[in-house]
Amino acid sequence: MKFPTIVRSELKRLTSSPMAILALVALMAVPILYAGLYLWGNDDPYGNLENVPVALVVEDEGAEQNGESVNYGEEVRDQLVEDGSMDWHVTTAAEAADGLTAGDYDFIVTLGADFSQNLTSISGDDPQRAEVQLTTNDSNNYLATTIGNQVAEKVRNSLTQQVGEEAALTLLNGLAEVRSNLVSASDGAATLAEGVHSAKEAADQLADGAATAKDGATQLSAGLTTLKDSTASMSDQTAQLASGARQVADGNAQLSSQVQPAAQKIDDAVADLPTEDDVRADLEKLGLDDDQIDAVVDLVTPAGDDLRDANQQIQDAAASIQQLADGSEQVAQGTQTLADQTPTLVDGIASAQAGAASLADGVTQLSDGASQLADGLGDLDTGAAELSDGLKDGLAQIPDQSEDERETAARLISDPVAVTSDKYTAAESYGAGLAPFFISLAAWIGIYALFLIVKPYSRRAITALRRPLPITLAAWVTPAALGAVQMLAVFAVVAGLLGFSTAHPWGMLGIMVLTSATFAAIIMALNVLMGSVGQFLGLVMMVVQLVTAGGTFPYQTLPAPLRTLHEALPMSHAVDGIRQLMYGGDMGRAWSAALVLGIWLVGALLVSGLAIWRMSMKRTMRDLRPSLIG
Amino acid sequence: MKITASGISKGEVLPQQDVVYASGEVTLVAVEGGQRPSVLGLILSGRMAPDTGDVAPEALRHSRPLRDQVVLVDAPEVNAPDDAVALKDVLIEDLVYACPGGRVAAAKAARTLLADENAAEFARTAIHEVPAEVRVRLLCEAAVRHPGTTGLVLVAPDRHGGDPRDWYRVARSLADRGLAVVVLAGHAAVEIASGLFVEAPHLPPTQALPVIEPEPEAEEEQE
Repeated sequence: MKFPTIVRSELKRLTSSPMAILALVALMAVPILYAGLYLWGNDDPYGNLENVPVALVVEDEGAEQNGESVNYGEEVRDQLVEDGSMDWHVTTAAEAADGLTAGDYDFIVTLGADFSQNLTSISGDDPQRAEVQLTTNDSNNYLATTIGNQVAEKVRNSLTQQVGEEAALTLLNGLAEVRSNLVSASDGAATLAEGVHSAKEAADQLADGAATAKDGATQLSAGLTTLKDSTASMSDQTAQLASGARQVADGNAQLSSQVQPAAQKIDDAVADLPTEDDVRADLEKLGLDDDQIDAVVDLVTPAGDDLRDANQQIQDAAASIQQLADGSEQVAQGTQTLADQTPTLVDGIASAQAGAASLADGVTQLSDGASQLADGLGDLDTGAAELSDGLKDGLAQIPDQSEDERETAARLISDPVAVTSDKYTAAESYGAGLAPFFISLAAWIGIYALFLIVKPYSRRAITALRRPLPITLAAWVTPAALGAVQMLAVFAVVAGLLGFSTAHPWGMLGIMVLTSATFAAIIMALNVLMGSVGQFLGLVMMVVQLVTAGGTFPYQTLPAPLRTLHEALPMSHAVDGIRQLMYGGDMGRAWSAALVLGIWLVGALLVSGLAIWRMSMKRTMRDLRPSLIG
Repeated sequence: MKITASGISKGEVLPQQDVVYASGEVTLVAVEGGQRPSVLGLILSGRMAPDTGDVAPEALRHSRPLRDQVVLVDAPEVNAPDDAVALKDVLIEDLVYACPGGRVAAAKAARTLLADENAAEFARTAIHEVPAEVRVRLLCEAAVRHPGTTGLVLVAPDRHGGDPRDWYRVARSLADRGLAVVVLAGHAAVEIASGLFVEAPHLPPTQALPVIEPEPEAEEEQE
């Protein structure tokens, strides 16, 4: 176990005189000073903006809006000054310009004369864009320009939001009025469409009815015409009929007048005929016997019966003839009456026919007109239906918003997108955000400073021994142990004095110590291999890692050649590991960072070990060369 | 054992020369200026390869490399102890390198050594304050504690000042113990020391020892 002695010897050497002790303490303090001061100074620059002097020039002349006069420029000015987030100085344009050149102000925000005018023009016919003018001077401070841009952007956003909201509200209110009028129009159109539709149906019925009537009237007219034609000669014919019937009647009357007396006579005669009994009696008187009486009666009775029957027949016939005469008389009278009336009838038929013809014409016109009406109403119906549908559709597209809803919508139109941020892990401030980077840098600087006084390896040991292992270990343990003490102090400052919060304090301290030990191995290897040139390369490596570690901007923003170095160099991983443990991120990444650092550590120790072994066997002049740094 | 370094040189630092040293003898070599003493010391003790020539040990005991058998003592910028460190701590370190066992044993051995050499009063003194003779003596004694040491190269003891006789006596006593001793010192010191050899009758004459006396013309050459 030689190596503890080698370590002790080195430590004894480092603490052998008061000056040596002072030098050691001073160099041990370097990383603490570096990290501590930087993180203290940069803890919250954006929170300390209220001391940054900025000029505010307001030349706004105001404008009219909704009948009131407004001056947005002055409103903005009052708000900004009240806000006090920066050290606002309200001045004139000339003073501000001078001040900016002289460095009294870091930037100028100007609101021109037509600021309110332009802002209020957006609800009018000729909208103009309003301007917030930002004037910067990079010779004062470049980052002040960045801050100025952010301030101007904030002012712009809040103004945009305010003015936009009012204009949007005006538009929405107008639209609401349009909508309510449109509702009435739509209702009216619906009613109209219904009415027109009923009218059309009625007109269709009318047209059908009129068509039917037209057919009927035409038939009637035709029929009556036929009738008229047919009855044209009816008067004459009935006159003839009447005269004929008169003749028949006269004839029959004559006949009857002749027949009746004859019949009467016969009848009388027959009545006078003896009856059978009479005959019998008579015959008996005559003295005939019964057989003869019967024979005579048999001869006579049938004759008498026949005569009686014949008489009856004659009487019936006479009656019939009388009837016939009466009937013919009636017929004659009737036909006479008919013949008298027939002309009237014929005239009436003629009139009826004429009337029917006119009726047919009129009904035809009525039917045509009704058809046209039906067609016309059909178009109107379609049109009214379209109007009603169109108005309904239009109505559906205009949202129905209450006053509250309109105000909300106006607010959202003027500020439609909000950004919500969701943090997996959060660094609590700007300083805390940069802390891992500056801690890693401090670790490297601390080791670098130590190697100004700590020997990279014990020359006495390699002269006396030929065993590289204890010599290498001892050469590494000395600066690594001192580095661990440095990291402990830095941690105390960061977590204790400056009060940054750490999610995994022990883990963070562990990875800080590992980082310091790895850097010790690397810088030791550089020194062992190349002496003071190696120490210089340690400085170069620090600068390269400072740029590529991705401690400030994300490393992907680096130019391509530098970006490739990001993964290779150890400080990038140290920064990542400390980040995870300080903010409470992914433990897997912390372990992989530790792994990479471990690989660098072992690699550097191997390189050193090989060089030390070689030196312990055979030294070269290079190994003896004096240090350029001293 | 005899070590012959013939025609050795190292760059521009060391011009070509020959050195021979053998067991039981004290060889004085005049070399001074800058790194020269240390470079020669490294070469002679087998810790550095010369650019020309070689260092050939004859009859090496146990066939171990030269480097393991010859110790290098107090070479400036190589293994000279840091000025401000206490003597005791330097001895402990050297004894840890020399002896097996840990620091505790070494500390004990250091105490013993200091006592034996009557130097206990200087235990806590910064080594550069320690008298030159005491320093050389103790450093040599600590170095030869290394097991298997057969040779010793003492580099520039004269830089500490003091009387060359003092360190010559130390070298002599070590040679008497059978070691091959080489002392590399400045010309003036070597001259005085080699004169001592002649003038000091109490020292046993060892004619067989081929002392490399820097003869005037050889001196010219070696410079």
